[in-house]
Amino acid sequence: MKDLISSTAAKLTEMFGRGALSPTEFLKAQTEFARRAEPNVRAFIRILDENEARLGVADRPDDSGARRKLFGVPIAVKDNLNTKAVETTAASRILKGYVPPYDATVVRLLKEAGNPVIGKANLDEFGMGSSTENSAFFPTRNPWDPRLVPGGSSGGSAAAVASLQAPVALGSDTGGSVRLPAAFCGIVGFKPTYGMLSRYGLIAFASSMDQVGVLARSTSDVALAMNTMSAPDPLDSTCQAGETDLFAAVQDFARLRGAKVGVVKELSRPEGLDAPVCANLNASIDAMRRAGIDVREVSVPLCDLALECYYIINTAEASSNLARYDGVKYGMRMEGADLAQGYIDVRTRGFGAEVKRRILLGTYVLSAGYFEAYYNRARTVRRAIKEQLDAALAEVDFLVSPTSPTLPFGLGERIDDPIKMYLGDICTVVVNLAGMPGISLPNGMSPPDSEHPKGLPTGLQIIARRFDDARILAFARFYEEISGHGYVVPPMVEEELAK
Amino acid sequence: MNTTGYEVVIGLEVHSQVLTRTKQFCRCVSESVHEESRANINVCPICLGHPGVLPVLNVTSVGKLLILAAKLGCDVHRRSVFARKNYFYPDLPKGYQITQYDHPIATGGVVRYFTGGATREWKLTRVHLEEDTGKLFHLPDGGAIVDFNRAGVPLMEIVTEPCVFRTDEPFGQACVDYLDELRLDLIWLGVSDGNMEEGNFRCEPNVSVRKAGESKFGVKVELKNLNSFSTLRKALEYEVPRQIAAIESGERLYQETRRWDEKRGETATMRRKETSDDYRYFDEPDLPPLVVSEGMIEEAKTKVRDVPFDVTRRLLEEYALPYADARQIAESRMLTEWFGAVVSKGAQAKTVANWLLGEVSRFHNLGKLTASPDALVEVLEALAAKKINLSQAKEVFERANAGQTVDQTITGKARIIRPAEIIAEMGLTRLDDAAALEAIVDEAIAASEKIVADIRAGKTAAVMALVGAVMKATKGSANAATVQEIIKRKLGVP
Amino acid sequence: MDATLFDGLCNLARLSLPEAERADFQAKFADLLKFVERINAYAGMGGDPLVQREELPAAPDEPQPFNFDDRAGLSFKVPSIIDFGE
Repeated sequence: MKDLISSTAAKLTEMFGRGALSPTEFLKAQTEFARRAEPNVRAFIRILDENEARLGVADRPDDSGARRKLFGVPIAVKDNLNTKAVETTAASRILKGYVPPYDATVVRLLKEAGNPVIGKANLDEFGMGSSTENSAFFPTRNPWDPRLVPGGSSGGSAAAVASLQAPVALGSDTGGSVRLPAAFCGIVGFKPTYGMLSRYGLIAFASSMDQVGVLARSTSDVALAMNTMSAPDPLDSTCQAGETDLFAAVQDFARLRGAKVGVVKELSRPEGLDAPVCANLNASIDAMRRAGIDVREVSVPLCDLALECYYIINTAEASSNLARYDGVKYGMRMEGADLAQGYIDVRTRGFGAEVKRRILLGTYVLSAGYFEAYYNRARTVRRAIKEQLDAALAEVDFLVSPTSPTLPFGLGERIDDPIKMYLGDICTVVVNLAGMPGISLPNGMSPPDSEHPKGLPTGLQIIARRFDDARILAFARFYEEISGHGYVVPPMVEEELAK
Repeated sequence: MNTTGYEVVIGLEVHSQVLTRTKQFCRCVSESVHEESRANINVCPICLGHPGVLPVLNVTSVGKLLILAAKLGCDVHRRSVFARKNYFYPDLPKGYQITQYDHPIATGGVVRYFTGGATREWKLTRVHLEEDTGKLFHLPDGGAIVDFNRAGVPLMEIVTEPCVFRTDEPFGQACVDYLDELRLDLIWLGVSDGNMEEGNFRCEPNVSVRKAGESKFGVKVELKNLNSFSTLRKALEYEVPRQIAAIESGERLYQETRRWDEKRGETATMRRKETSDDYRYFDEPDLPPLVVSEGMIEEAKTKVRDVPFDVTRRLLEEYALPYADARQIAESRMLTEWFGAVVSKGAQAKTVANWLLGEVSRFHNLGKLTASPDALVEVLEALAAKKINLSQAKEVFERANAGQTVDQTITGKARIIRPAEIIAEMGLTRLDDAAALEAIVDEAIAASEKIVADIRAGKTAAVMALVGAVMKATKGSANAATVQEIIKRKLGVP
Repeated sequence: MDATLFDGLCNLARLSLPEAERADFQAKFADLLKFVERINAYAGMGGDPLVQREELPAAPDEPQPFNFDDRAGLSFKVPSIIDFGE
């Protein structure tokens, strides 16, 4: 069983499919390991019991259609994705006790294909944060060093996969929330094109940028998960999924040999990066060049205003999306005799500080008198950013940059400095503003030292044109091949495995 | 109080529920539910504003708006955008309403109507789609139960351009005339139920005053919770002098919302928090722009029908009916249909109008109108031919309407009696009506195989036997010679 | 940042801050505002907002009632509304 715990989802699916292993047995073993590992990681808000895990889960694989899909693979689901009859909190007090009456579409599709939900993964409250420290319940730890953050907001999802508590996890990415924790935890994190996956059942943060994402230990696993979840959904008017076979595309990675790659100058300035991040970026570029890829520098000047643009738009949309949490219909309920005060009490007690901050900023940028100067201007900049990215991707096939300018930082290190925390998103937000697909791949470690015998992971971000999801995954696979980089078992997890 | 020297500026905003089967952004049933015991019977996670839900637009509500837009001559914008209007209230589940703001589906348009025989018109600014809120059932302890059955029901918002009146003009009546006409248009076009008491047709006037001749608008007051036309008129007629008095005495006027207090007979401030009106509109990110195709617009045009204004105009111009009569007929689809049917068979317009507004309406209002327009045609023909007088005609029509069946015809089957037969039965005339006789003869032929065989075999005496059967069925009121002729013709005997 | 403005925002958002946290929160908020104000470095304005999908797919008007497993939870009561207008 121990070998199986570190298996890829692709291998597991194949074994379940030919009856060499029972999904129920594996779920038991995986869950048991997850519980043992939890005290050091705290990836989960809750690990589900067997009944909950198998609610609505099919016994047989989904053979409909030509695409290969995940089967029998336990999935860690970020707790901002609704799971029917299983409490979903978005890591917020205001949703404590909320039991969704429906499954998010992506969750339903995974279940219908026979994949159980192993647990609800921890996150920054409502997806707002880059370290998972904004969870109302507790912070998650980085499996590489429990004193460090796993990144956020999908920190629980990333930590679960990195610590072998689950083969695959679902996250959500609004400004980097899947890619950043993937980089900090040394795994693959994929944010599809905006519109590739249904958002129905994803608790909304910033509607025009939110997208469900996949965290796994290999690109093939990501592709299998995508095949299982990517489908048109009449319940989401912004979903434009088709029937692309991403797994098949990934297997065909060799044809990406002739690709052209552009390194985004504004996101790769050495003075803005931690030395190991810079070194590993350069090494990745070298590896690509040695494999015959044309790598050049490209400029996307508006990257320098991307964060400001992102924080105006995401807070504006969030301030509106979170207005429904009023204590009237579900979750934390209003008390007392006065309605006006009731609203204020519930929302003040129910929301954490970061959420309140963003709601207030969002309210400000939308209010009369300020709308033009902030929101409208941000919309203009957003369009211009997309145009610059499109222009760059007319010259090359993919853009690359580091996923994060820094190595994983310490718990508590940035929590009192919101702006410092936001600056960590500098490489990832442009992708969400433009609605393009982006992926973070492990691209090596920082130099080992006494504290970190294997070093700490860094991540390479790849960006592609909208709806180029098949190609970006294939190129990611290609990079895995030519670089030899991939998932490495963190020391702490090796210890746990050995027990 | 002296109100001369002032002008009144009024804009009217109507919210009308759209006749669809499901809600605007989810597929819950859309229907009027009044009982608290049936609260929350038509709800789902979407219209309850659960975490994670998304709106999906009802295509039929767009179609209905396009029909109205086609009728009123609005400019239809092929591309329009939905927006969020943000505020907190228990009956607003998401904490925002999905509506249209900068880019509505339709702008412009005109509602034409008659008032006292002359045509008037109100210009429209815009027509757009949005969603309704839930309802509150107030409890004795001051709290309330929230019922989300109505939350998400499709609404159409119809806004007029501001209209300027002199203070001595009947501005209240002018508003009511427009609103009633719009209401009827919506009903006749199948777009809405237009029922003010049920709450699916709501009007909110905006009213301000200014010195006559000034071009700037005065402070605007919105009036809400006006649940009948008479309340609306009373509220306007109170509010205008109130505003003028305030200006005259140097008192400050607030841009606010006021409601009508029936007990006191005055408008009153609706208490609200000071900073309430910043709705922070922004484009709805969950809905791409609505693109209306040429096909949808054309299809809507095919569904455009005559409305009371068109009928009134026709009755006045083509038939020279007096205005009051024309209007009364035009406001009723039933009477309009009857008018068309009866006049097309040659009856006199004025006579038809009198009968429609008289006897037909009387029976209709009692819920007892079962006769068809053909029955009225027969009665009026007999009247015109002086076969019967007016009071006899009324009696005949009443009996025709009673749905009496002809007793024991030759076949034993019952059928509704025709006026011509009633007239004959009452002994007022011989039954000469060709169609009625033909029908009875057909029955006799069908019921008497042996006699018919005899007739065909050449036994002419058998013809008289058949005539006898028909005379019996018509209680002797038929014209025997005519009957004999008809029998011979039908059987092809000389 | 102007205290009245800040209070106004809190009111619009139905939030309040305990006295002890207020000063710190307001200070951090002021920093945030300075940060996003940098957007004004961009001189251009106008043009259509970015849309990811060009046309909205409307649905047929066919009822699809939702089956709540637990209808008991569909009872919503709120306290006194007297002071709240509308």
